[in-house]
Amino acid sequence: MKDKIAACVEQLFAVSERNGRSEEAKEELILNLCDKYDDLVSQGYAEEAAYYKVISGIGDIDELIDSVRTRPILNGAEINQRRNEKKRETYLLLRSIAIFMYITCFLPLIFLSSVLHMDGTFGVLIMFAMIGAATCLIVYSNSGLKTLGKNYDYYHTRENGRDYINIRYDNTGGENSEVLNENKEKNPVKGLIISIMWTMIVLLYLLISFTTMRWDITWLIFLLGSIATIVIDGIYYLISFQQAERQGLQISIRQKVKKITGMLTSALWLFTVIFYFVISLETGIWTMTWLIFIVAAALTQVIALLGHFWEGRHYENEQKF
Amino acid sequence: MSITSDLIRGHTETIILAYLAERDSYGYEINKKIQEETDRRYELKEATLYSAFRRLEESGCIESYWGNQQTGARRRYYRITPAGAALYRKNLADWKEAQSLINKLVSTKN
Repeated sequence: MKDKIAACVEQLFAVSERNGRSEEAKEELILNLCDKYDDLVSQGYAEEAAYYKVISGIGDIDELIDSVRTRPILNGAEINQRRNEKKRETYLLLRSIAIFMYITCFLPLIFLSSVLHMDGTFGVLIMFAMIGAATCLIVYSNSGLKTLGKNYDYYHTRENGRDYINIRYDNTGGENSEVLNENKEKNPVKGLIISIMWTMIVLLYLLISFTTMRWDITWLIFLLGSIATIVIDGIYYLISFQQAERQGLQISIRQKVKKITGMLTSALWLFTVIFYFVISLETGIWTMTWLIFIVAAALTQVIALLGHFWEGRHYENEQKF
Repeated sequence: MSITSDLIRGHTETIILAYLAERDSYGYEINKKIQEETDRRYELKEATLYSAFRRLEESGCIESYWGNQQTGARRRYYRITPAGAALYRKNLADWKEAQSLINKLVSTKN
C-alpha cells in the first residue's frame, strides 16, 4: 500500500520541473504520508480506507509544485507557455525545412543529369529520399504541435474500490476539450480503420506500380492516403464534437475553427504536392510547376483568413443575441 | 467551518513557527499536533503545509536537515532561525492586535 502512495505522489509530481528541490519535497511528502498511513492503520482504519484518506488529504499539489520551482518563480501557465513557445518554434522550423525539401527535391536530379550528365537513377533516389524525409518531418511536427498548448489538471477518481489519479489535458485553457481527447483515445475503431486503410494503400501501390510500371508517380498514392487519414480524423472529430455537445459541454468556436482550418491546410499541402508531381511529370515543365507551391501558400492564407472571418462573425452573432 | 479553515490557513506559517520555536520537528508531526490540539476539527492539507515550509525556508525563517532521530526513520526536520523567531514574535503580536480589534468590531454594543 505504501508503494501505491509513493507511486501516486510520483504521478502527481510527474508534471513538475525536476530539480533537487522537487526531488527532496517528493521524498519528504512520501515519507510523511506513509507515517500518516501507518498511524491511520494503527487507529483501526482498513488499509484501503487509510490509503484513500491519505491521498485525499494531499490537497492542491500545484501549490507545492509551484513552491519547488527553480527561480525566477513563474506560475504554471507561464512555464507551460514558455516551454510550448520554444517547442512550437522548433516544430514550425522542422515544417519549413520539410516544405523546403519538397520544393527542392527535384534539383539534385536536374543537376546530376543535366550538369554532370549522370544516369537519372541516382537523382531519382535522392529525390525520393528527400520526399520521404520531408514527409517524416511533417508528420513529426504535426503530432508535436497537436500536443502543445495543453494545460494539465489532475483529478481523483475511485472505481471498483481502487483509487486513480488521472491527468486531464486541456488545450483550450479551461474549456472542455478533454472530452474530445478522451473520445479520441477511446476510439480503437478509428485506429483500426486507419491501419486497414494503410495496408490497402500499400497493396494498391504495389499493384498499380507493377501493372503500370509508373514508379515515378505511383508513390503519390501514399500522400492520397494521408489526405484520407485527415478526412477520417475530421469525421471522428465531428462525431466527438457532437457527443460533447449532447453532454451539454460548450466547445469554443476558436478551437473548432483551429481544428478545421488545420485539417484543411494539411490536406491542401498534401494535395499540392500530389498535384505538383502529376503536372510536372506529365508536362515536364519543372521550371514552371514549382509556382504551384506559391499558389498553395496563398490558399493557406485564404483558409486562415476565412477561419478568422468565421470566428469573428460568430462573436458578432453572439453579441447580437 | 469554511471561514474558520480559511482563517487558520492564513496563519499556517505562524503555526509552523510556533511549533518549531519549541523544538525541531517534521511535517507529519506538526500536522498531527495541529489535529490533536484542535480536537481533530482541523487538519492541514499536505500541499498547504509543505508549500508553507518551502516559503519559510526560502525567506530564511527555517532550515531543514535530513535526520533519523528517535524512531530511526529517515525524516526531514526543520529548525527555526533567528529571523524566523523574530517573524514569529511579530506575527503573534499582529494576531493579538487583530484579534482584539475584530472582537470589538464584531461584538454587539449592549
